[in-house]
Amino acid sequence: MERFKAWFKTIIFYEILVGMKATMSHLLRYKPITLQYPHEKRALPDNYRGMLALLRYDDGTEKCVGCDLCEAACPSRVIRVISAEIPGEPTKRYSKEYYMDMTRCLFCGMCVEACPVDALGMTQEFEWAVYDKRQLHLNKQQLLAIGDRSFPVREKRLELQHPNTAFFNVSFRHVPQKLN
Amino acid sequence: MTELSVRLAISLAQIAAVMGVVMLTVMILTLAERKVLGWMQDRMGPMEVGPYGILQPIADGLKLFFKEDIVPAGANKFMFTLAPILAMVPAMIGFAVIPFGPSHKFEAFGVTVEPFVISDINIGILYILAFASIGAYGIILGGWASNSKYSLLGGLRSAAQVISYELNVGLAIVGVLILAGSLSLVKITEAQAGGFWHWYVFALPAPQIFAFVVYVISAVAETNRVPFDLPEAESELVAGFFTEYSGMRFAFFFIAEYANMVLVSCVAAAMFLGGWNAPYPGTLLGHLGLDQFAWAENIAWFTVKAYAFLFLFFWLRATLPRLRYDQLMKFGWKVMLPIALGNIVVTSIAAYLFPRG
Repeated sequence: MERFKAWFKTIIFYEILVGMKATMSHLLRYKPITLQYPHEKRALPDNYRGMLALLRYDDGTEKCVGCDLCEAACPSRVIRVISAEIPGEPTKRYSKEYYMDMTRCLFCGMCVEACPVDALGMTQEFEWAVYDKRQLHLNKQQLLAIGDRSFPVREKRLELQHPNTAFFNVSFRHVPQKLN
Repeated sequence: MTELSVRLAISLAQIAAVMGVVMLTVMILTLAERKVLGWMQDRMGPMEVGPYGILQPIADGLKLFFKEDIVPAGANKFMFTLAPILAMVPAMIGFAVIPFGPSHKFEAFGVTVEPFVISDINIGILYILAFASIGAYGIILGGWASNSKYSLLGGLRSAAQVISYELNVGLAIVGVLILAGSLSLVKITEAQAGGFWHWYVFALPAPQIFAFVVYVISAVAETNRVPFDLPEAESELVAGFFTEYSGMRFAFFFIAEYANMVLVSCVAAAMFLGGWNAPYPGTLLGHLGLDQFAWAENIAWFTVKAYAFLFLFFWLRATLPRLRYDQLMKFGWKVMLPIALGNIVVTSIAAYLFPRG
């Protein structure tokens, strides 16, 4: 009897009919999961790791202190920092030049984690297709511009966030006090 | 104006009309296939050109028309040019004997005109089978002339496959020919009038249901469609016999494939599913007293049957994976062929015991 059943299933193409039923049910209950990409876009998760950017404080000064830790942390040598003293302030440094070769970046986010002053951020931008790959070799101005357009809400300066935060900051007295 | 020139003019007008309808159907099919496949796989299909992508075939046609026509180095240029034509002409020429509607006749300019069939020749189905076999030459020559391994392998596979399944197509329709007693598609269709129980799939004394299944499977194989698309297996042979073709020559192969699909659908509708006959006796418009418009209903039924068959092609493509080569051959020779032969024996005995009245 079992063999007869199996034989009968073979001659009526039972397995194929089951498959055809499955495809037909998808046709009848048509719910596409496609998004028409350039016209409609997915909501990205908050921790999406997109284009890298340099950030500023809310008074417009750069956060970056030129410590080179991002350069050291980067596994694919994307970042190149040329650090310099702030003129007249021998204890403070900043990045005189800052380059990112985004053709090599693998968006691991280790530079962002390495930064001690949170000067680097990962934006939600991902549409960075260009015709000339030199356009992906970004300098400091471009990275700051990306940060400006992607992070409109900026942090206060570290020493103004809380009195104790800047307790060990030796350069505190040189910074003009700003309320709030 | 002589009678000959009138005949010629009427025939050319009919040919132009049928070619126009076939090309339009091919255009619709290219879109419909992508849409139906998309819907079955939870996608959308083409959506960009025009509302819901309905102008996509026109965009595709324009693109192919303006593409560069590349002849690969070392290719046999004459054969390379000939192959697409050899593939497309047989696919188109078969429509000459398909009856699209009832066989009315009327007199115009002193000659008898049959509006819904270009030529009612008495060996109609043999003519279609003969030209379908010639279509295989286009594929084989295209594969050989391209000077490419993939093309040659695709062409060889196609040769073996078309020969194997051509046989099954021929044997599957023999039962119908025994019952109808004619090779003319017009006569075969007319013999199935009067309700779906007179269609040869269901008709007593010998329902041709097995022959129909054999025909469907062999037709899919003969038109090189999934799951029998070994000649153009994307994952193995890049694109099979038309790997090296581009531009309009590629479009010719493409049109040939789709025209072949339409042709086998029309033949299936005419031979097994009653052609232009409605599944109830007579026509609804005829019962309402509008006999002069009954042909529209008949053509609509033929269209519905042909398109249902074409939908089956898409449905199979969305469902089934490709067969292995030995499975293909084994299935064709060890399963389909005995069924078709057995069907001929049973039908012959039944037709002998219960001769037609």
